[in-house]
Amino acid sequence: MAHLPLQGVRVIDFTVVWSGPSVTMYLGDLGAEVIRVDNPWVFPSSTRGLVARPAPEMISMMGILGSAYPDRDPGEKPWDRHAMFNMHARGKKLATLDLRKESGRELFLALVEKSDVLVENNNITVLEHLGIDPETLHKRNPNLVILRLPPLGQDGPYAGYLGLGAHFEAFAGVTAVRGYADSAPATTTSVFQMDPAAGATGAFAVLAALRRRAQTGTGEVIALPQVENEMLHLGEMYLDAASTGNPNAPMGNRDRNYLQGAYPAAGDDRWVSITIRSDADWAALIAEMGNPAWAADDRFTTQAGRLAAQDEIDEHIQSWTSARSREDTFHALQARGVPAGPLYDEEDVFNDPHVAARGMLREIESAHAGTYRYPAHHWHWTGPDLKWEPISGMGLDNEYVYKEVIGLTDAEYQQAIDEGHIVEGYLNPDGTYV
Amino acid sequence: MRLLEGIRVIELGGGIAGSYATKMFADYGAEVIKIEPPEGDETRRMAPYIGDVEGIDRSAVYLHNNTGKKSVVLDLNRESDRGSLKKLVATAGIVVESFKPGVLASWGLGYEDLLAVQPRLVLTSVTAFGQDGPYADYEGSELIYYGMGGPMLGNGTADREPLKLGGYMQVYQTGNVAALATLGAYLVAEEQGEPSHVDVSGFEVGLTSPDRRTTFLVNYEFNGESSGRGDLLGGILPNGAFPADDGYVQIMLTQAWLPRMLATIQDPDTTAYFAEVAANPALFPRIETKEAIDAGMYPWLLSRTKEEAMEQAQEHKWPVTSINSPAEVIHNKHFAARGFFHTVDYPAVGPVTHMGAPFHVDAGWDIAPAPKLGADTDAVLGSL
Repeated sequence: MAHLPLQGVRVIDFTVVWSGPSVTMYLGDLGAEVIRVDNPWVFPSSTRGLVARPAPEMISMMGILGSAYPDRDPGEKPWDRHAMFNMHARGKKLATLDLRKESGRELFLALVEKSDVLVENNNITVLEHLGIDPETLHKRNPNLVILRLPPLGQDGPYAGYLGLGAHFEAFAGVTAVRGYADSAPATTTSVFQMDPAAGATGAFAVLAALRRRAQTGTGEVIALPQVENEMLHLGEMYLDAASTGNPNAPMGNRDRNYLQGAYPAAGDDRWVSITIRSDADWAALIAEMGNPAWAADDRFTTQAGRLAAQDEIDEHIQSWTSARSREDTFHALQARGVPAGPLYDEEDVFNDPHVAARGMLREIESAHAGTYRYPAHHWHWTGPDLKWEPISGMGLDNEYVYKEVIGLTDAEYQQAIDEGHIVEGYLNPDGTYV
Repeated sequence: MRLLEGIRVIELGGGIAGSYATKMFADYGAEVIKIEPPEGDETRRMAPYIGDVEGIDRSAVYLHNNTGKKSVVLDLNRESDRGSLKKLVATAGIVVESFKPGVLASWGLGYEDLLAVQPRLVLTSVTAFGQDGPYADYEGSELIYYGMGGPMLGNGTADREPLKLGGYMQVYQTGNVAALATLGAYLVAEEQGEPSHVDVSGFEVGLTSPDRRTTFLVNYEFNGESSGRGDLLGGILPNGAFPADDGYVQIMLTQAWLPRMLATIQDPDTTAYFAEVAANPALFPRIETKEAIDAGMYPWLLSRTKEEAMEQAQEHKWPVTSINSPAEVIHNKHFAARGFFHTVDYPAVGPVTHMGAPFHVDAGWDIAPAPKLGADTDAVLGSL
């Protein structure tokens, strides 16, 4: 019986927000033991909630991400109950450590000696400020694979700039190409695709580096400039811009190759999307619509002709879809081989039979959030079962990490407690819980 | 040695997702043999084209996704070409295919058939809805993955149609996840001799990884709250795109960042307003707060270029960035200083500006031109 590829690999997760935590989630799924290290004295916003302990009147004011707690109740340990944390925390061991103290740095380096991989996505100078720069880490453990995920890269004139994914993808061109064709960018919501894109690439990079380490015996430093990784997901637009100067202005839901759109369906805020890739798709759509007379127009016999007349065609499609349920259009077109699909809100996803049949929602117990269903692994395979383990709570694995992994004696562990490293929540500057 | 040297990958069925997955192998040193039908991969006929001139070797979609690969033409409808493919698979570690479920098996090239010639094979199937389940035979597209799998219904403004992301980002993400899953399975095969069939679906990648979808799904399960269109727009604190003198900037303001904003714009009235709020926090959740911010922020922004606004705000650690189009990004000094764009010479097309590495390691990444259709057919088949 085969085992997971990262069985026996230990990963230190020194990450914030989304991209870094999602790299280590993938590594955990693939069998690694992931040890997440939280500093109880520093609350990183958008990682375990927007603020450590939101006041009750703040919950609704902070919008959907501000209220993302079970039953909208932050409870006693809000940082262990927020959706942003639970969505990437499965199976991770959770330890606490104050890296700003010299004793914390020593404990961290002791953990580094026992680990194979370190993943971090803090601002580009954080490791250096904390005295745990890659050179120092490699002195303690030359086999360590270090993955850094600087949003704009480790160098370049704007490398140290601050922001969330939305800031950097706006800077790099991703936001400008998304939007309604006829209105200003200020009318659309931000794009947040940089972090999830970096998650999959980061885990790929670590796997590749571990494979090479097995051959060469040495670790290395990987730098993953998150926004450049994301720009590759729009590659043809940059090749085009460089070649022709085309700014690649937003096209709404339209496309240069496909005749497509999100069309209204019967009901309140119900939509169905349709993509016509070819003459065959077009013929199938028209047949499903009952071969209406307008469709016999000579201009519509080629994709180029149809794309040139999309305004006109869209009116016909829209009046057809508006009179039918999105499910009718979805299944009828798919039965004829045409890409079509309802636009799903969260409830729709939870009710979809294909999602259920493929096991794409799975329960996990979370130490302080209860048992709920989560989006499952991102792929299926016939290999060894990907790991799917309960979610721990902040600091709950301190004893395991400090005593069993690092090897502290009881007296040394007590000293780490006394020095403020070992707690199960966030602290105010005076040492009281927030 | 290059990062993924020594791995031979065969790509079948083309498309963006499968091509991007194997590009991640090719650019890091694996040998990727792309099998194309006689008319070429479908992406060879996708706009945009280099120089806006159509041609089978000029599609930017094709060139971007197939750097460093070999192109071998096989007509899998022919028995003899299927035989050649089997011989080739026997020499490879990985096959990435993007046909509909059941197509390979109908040619006698299904997972079991391929295992007969290569018992440690990783076969990765990239499809719209996966290998089984009620929608297994359904077709997909960027719009379907993002609309049905992803959070599209929440994007855009409430009075208009929901909005997709630009281009084919969800399809690329599917390829990105496929690359990860494939490499994971390959490590199992390489180290333990165990083969694997990997099943990656664009719809499921949409459910599990884009944008804010996962958080919102978990949030819904937690408390029944759905995300509405434009939810993340508006509110008291600015969040989104705001106008500067020559374009737009991306702004997000949290309460923690308020002092940085005030230090940046130095507007006495806005500063005075927030001194009042600091003394009496109950004043914060009022429309007057938004008005006080707008009254200070808009004039400041509009009297600066987007680049100046970004640089000055960042000096005060207020996260503001300029919003740029790809055409502006090509010439942006940051990416120029980093050497992100690479000119690659194509004898028949001319110089093409390609993009750099998604991650950097010593002796890791390199870029070589995408192949002309069938450029390596004779050499590769001749070596069998």
